[in-house]
Amino acid sequence: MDISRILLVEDEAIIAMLYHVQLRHLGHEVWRHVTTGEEAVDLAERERPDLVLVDIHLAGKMDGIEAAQKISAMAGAPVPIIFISGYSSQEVRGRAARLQPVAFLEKPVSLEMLKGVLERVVGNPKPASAPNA
Amino acid sequence: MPLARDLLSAGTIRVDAESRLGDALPEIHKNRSTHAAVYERDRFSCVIPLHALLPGNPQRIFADLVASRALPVRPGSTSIDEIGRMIEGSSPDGVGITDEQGRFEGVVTKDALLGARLVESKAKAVEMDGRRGELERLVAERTDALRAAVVQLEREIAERKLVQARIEQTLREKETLIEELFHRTRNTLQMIMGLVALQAEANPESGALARAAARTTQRIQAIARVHQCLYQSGDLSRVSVRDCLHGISRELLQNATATGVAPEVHLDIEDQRFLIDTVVPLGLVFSELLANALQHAFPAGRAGNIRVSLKRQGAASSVLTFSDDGVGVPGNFDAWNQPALGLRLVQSIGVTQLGGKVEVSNIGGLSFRLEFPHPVAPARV
Repeated sequence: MDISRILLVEDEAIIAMLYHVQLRHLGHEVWRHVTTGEEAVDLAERERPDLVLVDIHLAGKMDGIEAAQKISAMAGAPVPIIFISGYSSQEVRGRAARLQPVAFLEKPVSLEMLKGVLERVVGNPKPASAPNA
Repeated sequence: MPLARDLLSAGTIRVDAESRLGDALPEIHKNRSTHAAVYERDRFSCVIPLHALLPGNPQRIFADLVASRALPVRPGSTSIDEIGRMIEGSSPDGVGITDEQGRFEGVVTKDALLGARLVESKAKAVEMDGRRGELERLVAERTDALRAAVVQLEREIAERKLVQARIEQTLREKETLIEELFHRTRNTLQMIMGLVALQAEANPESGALARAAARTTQRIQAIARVHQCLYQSGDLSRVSVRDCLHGISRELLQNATATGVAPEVHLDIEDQRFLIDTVVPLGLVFSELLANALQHAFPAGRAGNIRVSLKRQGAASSVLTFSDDGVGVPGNFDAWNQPALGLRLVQSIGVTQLGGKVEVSNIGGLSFRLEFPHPVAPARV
C-alpha cells in the first residue's frame, strides 16, 4: 500500500519534529502537518491522505479521536489511522478502538514501534483492524 | 294503695338514672318503715332482698333470684351489670327489695338499674377516656419525638450526601490529575527523546553520536515503561513487580519481533508488591539487562532463550537472576569495566540505589544475580 501522503496531526512542535525524523529514517515523509483536529478534517475533505498519524490530545476543540472519526466517515476507501497518545486509560482506548485503528501507540514512541506499525500498513492492501500496536 | 313506681315518682325513694345503685341503697333502707305498708311483692316478677344488694353479698342475690324463679339466673354470674342485664325485659316496673325476713323494702326501677349501669359505663368510659387521653398524649409525644428524629436523620443524611459528593469530586479530581500528570510525563519523555534524536540528526557525520542517541532513547523508553507500571498498578505504594516486569518484557519483545526474530523469554516472577522506590530501579535494571541481551546476545535472528526469575530469599530479601544462552562474551569479559553504559548502570542501580549485591557469571552465556533487601521505607501514599 502506498503511504506517500502521511498526514501528521500533532500540536507539540518538538514531538512533531521527532516524528518527521523517525519517518524519514524509515523511508517515509510527512505529507502535511497540522496541529488541530479541525484542520485535519478540513484537509482530509479536500485531499485524501493515505495514512493519518494523529495525537489524541490536540490544540483546538476537537480531539484526535473525534477528528479520526470524521475522517473515517468520509466517502471512499477507509483511511488507515494510527493513534499516538500519552493517555492510555480504558475510556480513551475504548473510544479509539471503536474506529478500528491500525494501532494505538503510547508515548514515548520509539523508532522500532513506528517501524513495526508502518510495515503492517505498507504490507496490507487494506487498513488493518488490530486495535493495538 | 300506691304502686311502688308511684312512690318512686313521688320522690319518696330517689333512685334515678343518674345515681349509682350503691348510692341509692341506703336511701331505700332508711325508708323501709314507710314502705312496709305498701308491700306488693306479687306485683314484681323480681324481688331481691336488700341485704343481697349490699356490698359483699353478691351470691345471696343469686340465691334469692333463683328461689323466686323470676329470672333465668346463670350460675357464676357475679356482677351488678349482669344482674341488670337479666332484669331488663323481664320486670317492667323494676325490682322489689325485701328485708331479710322477706318484707317489702322498696323498689328499684329498671331505669335506676340501667342508670347505675350507665353511670358505671360512663365512669368506665371516663376512665377509658382518661387512659385513651394518656395513650394519645404518649403517642403524640412519641410521634413528635419520631418526627424530630426523622428531621435530624434527614439533616444528617443530607450532610453525609454532601460530604460524599465532595469526596467523590475530590477523587475524580485526583484521578484526572494523576491521568494528566502521567500524560504530561509521557509527553515530556517523548519530547526529550525528540531532542536527543534531533541533536543526532543535526550531526549526521557522527556515528558515535547517532548510536548514543539511539541507546539514550531506549533508556528513556525504559523509564516510560516503568512509569506505565506505576500508572497501571492503581496503588502507588504496592506495585505488582510481576505485572511490571511482564509488561516491560512484552513491550521490549514487541519491538524486537518488529525488527526480526526474537529469542524466547521465560519469566518466573514471584508475585510480590513493592514500594515504587524498589519497583522503579528494579524495573530499570531488568529493562537494561533484557534490552542488552536482545541487542547483543542473539545477532542475526539467532534463536535462543532468556531466563529470568525473581524469588524471595528469606523474609527480608529477594533475588533477581537473569541469564541467556546467546553468543556469550569472551572469557576475560569484565562486566563492570565496560565502556558501554548498560552494565555499569545495572551495577550502580543494584548496589547504590537498591542496596543490593550484584554478581555476574560468564559460564555458558552471561548471567546476573542481584540480591537486594526488601524496602524498609514507609509507604508514601
